[in-house]
Amino acid sequence: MEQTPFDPSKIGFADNPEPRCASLLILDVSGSMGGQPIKELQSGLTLYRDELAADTLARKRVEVAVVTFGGSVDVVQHFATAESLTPPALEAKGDTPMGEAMVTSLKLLEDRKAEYRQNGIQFYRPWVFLITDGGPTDANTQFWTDAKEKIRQGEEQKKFSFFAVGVEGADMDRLAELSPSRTPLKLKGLRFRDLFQWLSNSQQSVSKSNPGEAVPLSNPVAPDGWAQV
Amino acid sequence: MWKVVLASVTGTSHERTGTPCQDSCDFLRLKTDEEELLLVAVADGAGSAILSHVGSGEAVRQILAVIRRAQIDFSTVTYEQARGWMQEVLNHLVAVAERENTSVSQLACTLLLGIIAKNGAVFTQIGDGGWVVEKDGELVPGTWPQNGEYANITTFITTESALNTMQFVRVDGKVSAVAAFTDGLQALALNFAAKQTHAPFFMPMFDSVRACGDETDLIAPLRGFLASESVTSRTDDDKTLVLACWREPEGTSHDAGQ
Repeated sequence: MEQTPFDPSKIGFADNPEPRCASLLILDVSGSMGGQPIKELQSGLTLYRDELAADTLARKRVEVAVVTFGGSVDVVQHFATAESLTPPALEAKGDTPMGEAMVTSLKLLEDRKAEYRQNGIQFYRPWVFLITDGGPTDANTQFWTDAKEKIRQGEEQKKFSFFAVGVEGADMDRLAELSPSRTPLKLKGLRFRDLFQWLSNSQQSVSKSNPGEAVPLSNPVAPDGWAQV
Repeated sequence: MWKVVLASVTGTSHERTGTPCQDSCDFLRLKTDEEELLLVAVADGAGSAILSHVGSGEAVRQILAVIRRAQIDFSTVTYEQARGWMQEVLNHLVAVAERENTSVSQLACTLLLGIIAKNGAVFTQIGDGGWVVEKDGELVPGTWPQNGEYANITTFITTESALNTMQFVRVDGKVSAVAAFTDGLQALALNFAAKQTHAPFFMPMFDSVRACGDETDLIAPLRGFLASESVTSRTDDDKTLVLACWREPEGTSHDAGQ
């Protein structure tokens, strides 16, 4: 035969956008996070970006957004892949509007998912990660009620996976109110870098997975993990 | 007659972990009183199920056997009938699971079936992967992958209520070519935003099938293509491709049978 019948250079491949894995970080930057905690958190965030950027698939697929709460709720980073992500400079200040932060964040996520759908972009189940060292100062407001309800619904309908992480001093009972289906985790010391390493590893695995494939995540509460229950 | 070329090739991620190819495919020419039908079955075993390579093989064999026994009349194939065949496959998998002393979820797989006649085609499937069909010179989707909300989720025949999600599509009129593929090729073969078939993927391959003398000569080249770097740099999953093209028999147009 003169020609190769199935010559890859003659066959055109569809050019679909990469499927996305949204990762939403909701970070407590209230006054009590000042000093070493916020420095370690900042360093963990930078490590997270670097680790994602170093993985050929994750850097195209994992999209990170960062919302901070401390005095006010601020969307400091809209959803972006690691390549175009500059870890925001965190500054500790003010009280802890955790409920409002959750409501703002989940709205941000809903909007992003709507954009995916509009543009025919496939996506993985999003991750929502809350890190705090205190308790909500807006627990008596509608925000707190709404936050609890939205998280409960979201978990039930598998809209996202919600993880609550308490740093030393966090009100774990309040966190448990937010996360009835998954027990909140307690960070060991200030091991933010280990936490973000785990998050990056887990998201690298998930963002490569094919339908029907189980993605075993390493257990963060194992003896050498970054958390305890 | 229908010229058929097909192959299932292990994905690079499975090669790395020593997992067998979990895709299966096969075809059958079925002579009825009216005409010769082409039956094609494709299945993709779930990555998380330990015996899904067994499940996909059994599902493909069983659905072809069930239809051969059923003595179907193409013009009257219905959704209910197709659902009945899927149920028979599921029953068979339950029996296989008992024999293997395991749970049926360990045999989880998708299942795609095509019944292709001179004047139409019926496509039915549970899960992802898909069918494309060439009709009046145009290439259009026959079915569309079912991935649920998330990219890494699909329905398997063993999933609870899976039969309720079965797609059933009847295409009327003369069909000139069809292709079936598993999810490993989805992102290469379909344009998701436009929800359309990517013709430059299929057309050159259909041309090769149409031009060939003996289609068995094309099996090795097809395997070569599916294992080529161009493909494996875009997908690390197992991948199956079935290509079938109609060619008018040469000489007297009568005995199209063999």
